Amino acid sequence: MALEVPPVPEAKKAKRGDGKWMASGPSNAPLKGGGQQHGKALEFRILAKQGRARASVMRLPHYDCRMPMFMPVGTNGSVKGLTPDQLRRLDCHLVLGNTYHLESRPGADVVEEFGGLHEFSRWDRAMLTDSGGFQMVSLLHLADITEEGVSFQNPTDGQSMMLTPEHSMRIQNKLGADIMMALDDVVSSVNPSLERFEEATYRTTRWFDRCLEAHERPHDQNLFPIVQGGLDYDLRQTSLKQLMERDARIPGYAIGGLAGGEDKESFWNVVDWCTAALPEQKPRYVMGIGYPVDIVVCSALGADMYDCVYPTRTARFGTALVPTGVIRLPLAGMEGDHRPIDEDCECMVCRKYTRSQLHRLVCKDSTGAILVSYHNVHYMMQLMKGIRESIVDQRFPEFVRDFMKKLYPDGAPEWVARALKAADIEL
Amino acid sequence: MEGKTKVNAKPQFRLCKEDGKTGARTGCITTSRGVTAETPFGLVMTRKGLPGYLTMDNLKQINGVKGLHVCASHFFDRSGLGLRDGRPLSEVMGQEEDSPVLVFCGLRDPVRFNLNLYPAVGSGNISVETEAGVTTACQDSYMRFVKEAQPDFCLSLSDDIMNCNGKKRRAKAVKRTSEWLGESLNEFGGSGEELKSVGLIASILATERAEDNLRQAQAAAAASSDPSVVGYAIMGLGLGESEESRRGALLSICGQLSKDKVRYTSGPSTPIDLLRTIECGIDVVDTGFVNELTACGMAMVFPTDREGVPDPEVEDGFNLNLWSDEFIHDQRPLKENCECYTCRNGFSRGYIHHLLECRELLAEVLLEFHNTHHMCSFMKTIRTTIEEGVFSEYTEEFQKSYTINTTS
Repeated sequence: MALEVPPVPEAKKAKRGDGKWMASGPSNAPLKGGGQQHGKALEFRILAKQGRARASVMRLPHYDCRMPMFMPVGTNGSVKGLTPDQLRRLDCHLVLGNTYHLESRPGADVVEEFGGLHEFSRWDRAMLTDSGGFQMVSLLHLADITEEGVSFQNPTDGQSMMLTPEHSMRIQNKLGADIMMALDDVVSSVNPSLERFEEATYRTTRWFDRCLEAHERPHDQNLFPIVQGGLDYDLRQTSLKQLMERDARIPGYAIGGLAGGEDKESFWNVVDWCTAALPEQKPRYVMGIGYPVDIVVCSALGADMYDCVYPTRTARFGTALVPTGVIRLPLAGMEGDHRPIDEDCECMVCRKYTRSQLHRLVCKDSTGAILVSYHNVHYMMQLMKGIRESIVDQRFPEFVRDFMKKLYPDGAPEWVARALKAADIEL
Repeated sequence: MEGKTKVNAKPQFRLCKEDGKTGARTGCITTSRGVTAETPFGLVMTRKGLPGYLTMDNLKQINGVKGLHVCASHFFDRSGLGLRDGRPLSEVMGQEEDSPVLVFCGLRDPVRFNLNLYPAVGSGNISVETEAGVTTACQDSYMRFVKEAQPDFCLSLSDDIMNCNGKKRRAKAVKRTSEWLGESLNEFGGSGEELKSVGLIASILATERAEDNLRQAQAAAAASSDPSVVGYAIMGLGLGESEESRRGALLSICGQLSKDKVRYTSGPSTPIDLLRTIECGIDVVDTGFVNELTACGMAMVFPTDREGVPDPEVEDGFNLNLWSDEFIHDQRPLKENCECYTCRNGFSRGYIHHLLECRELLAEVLLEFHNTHHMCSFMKTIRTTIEEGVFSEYTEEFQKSYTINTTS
């Protein structure tokens, strides 16, 4: 099927900040690579189960990731001022890179020259790239979705550009992450039109087929499809069924279309339907989830992987994560508070710095942002470790109850209780 | 967070070797907190006790960082000047116990404080720039801070003014600086336990008038018989005076000072400036200009060993501007064979350029690693040439190799 796209712009060299999508080669060139052989680039093994929760290991080309796992977002190839050494020390197994940002600047071609994203950013553990679709739709209000792909008008020169499943694969192949995401037709979960969701569900499967064909490195890069369907049970089942028909070529599944402002009841229900239906022996990735309570609930329902900008983004504004919720360091009351962020936390920041010293630094000095990011990443990594260990030790329900008691001393919200009940955990 | 064992003696300075041909010398500072610092060395500037971008776990990986310059003016809040922590500054900053560095404390931020805008206010007061705007401090509030902070070294206050000020203003500045030194001596003498581990650095305000300089230097030298005084600070430099005038002031002042006390100054803004300053007999120099280079996305790449020659690709011989598009595809490290964290871990010029373009904080972190290491490496070479008696040859060669780029 010939793909008609606007002509590739003249200037091929990556330019500073002009945001041009470098069509990586003419888009009607013969497509190489024939499908994906599952099994080589990813091995998944469940270590322990309790209820629906699983502790597992996912062997990837660059690292063996223990799950459930939280993946910090390194948008442009780095996680907010933290060095790879610090990330390793903090027990990060996998860092996420944003395809849209990286293709805009410096361009996947440039990253490929450097040997791929791992080489470029000097991160030797696992990496995951998204498809580029989500950012395009959320950042470019001139974006338009057609069967072709996501088209948009470049804001700087008005030129029409297109992100197709094939382009997304080509870009992600150049970036070289251990896990790549298929381009999905992402609809905001608060969009009221069921028709639109229906269209998106079917299109996501068609685009996944195109991604499978276009993917050139199945031996060392894993392509995950994304289950769509909005908040509708039937559409979700349709998406699940269609994708699982291709299960032989799928190393792992993502659950998308959440983290967009939907109500919590719908949120947990969708996760529940998906984890109940998806094959047990494949990892499950809930995209865009980063609030500790959401992660605990999803893990109870049988999910394994999470990513979110929340811990690092909120750190820049001086918000530190603690078992009881958050500590807002810029508040005036912090000026005289000589306690660490968290008395029980053993990270470098809590061992050495008081809230009062951090209060001086946050929002004003870069070291403040770095220190709070460091603590927040540590907090998330320790949370995941706690989840994993409690599953292995067969005390996960106690862990969950303990976690909820600290976070909600006056009782957890209804949705949490209902979600955990579905996971056979009484609060 | 319990208090650590209290130190009980002032830092000691020992003169090691004098160059002979110039005023340069090597020495050694030791403190009972466990720091041993060979001089001359560069002081790293800080904001509220931390470098611009390096957290302490990162800083301690740089071999050769011996001292941090902490500004009391960074610790102003709504209740005024104060640390208000109960612990000394070295702990508040999060220093690693196994790798302590010297804490050198002054009031104003020598890099950032804009002397053009704010005159001194009233008698006894000194204007200070804080995050909330410009306010005043005085000898009392400064001394209270020093007692809380327990730095290794404390500068006596100096009324630094721009070079363009008139005769009357300058006379007043010199007078106030001398008065403050007197008050500090009284404070230190009378405070018993509270300041016993803090070394006072006597400030001399360098001016264009040789007589003033001489008089102050002699007074400071006399004052240094007081056990509280462990060294001298030559202040008021890097404020618009000519190079000649700066050199003249440094030489004439240093000539009067006793050799067995440490000498500090701020002001150099280029590596050649730095060499000339050390030539006059300075032991501890502020290297705030390095922090400024980092903040601008620049990397220092001039050779820091004696055999190296400037890279012909580098425009001014000294620095790379990583913002430039010429680095997009450059896979090389900032500097070939550099042992700093950034270069030995393979971070490329292209990657750092990318990080700068994306406004990612890691860019400055990596640059600060490199630039700080680079400065330490340079200072080490300087010390070696002084030890071996070839400092003036080294300086001459160094100056000949570069087209001087004096944009400061």
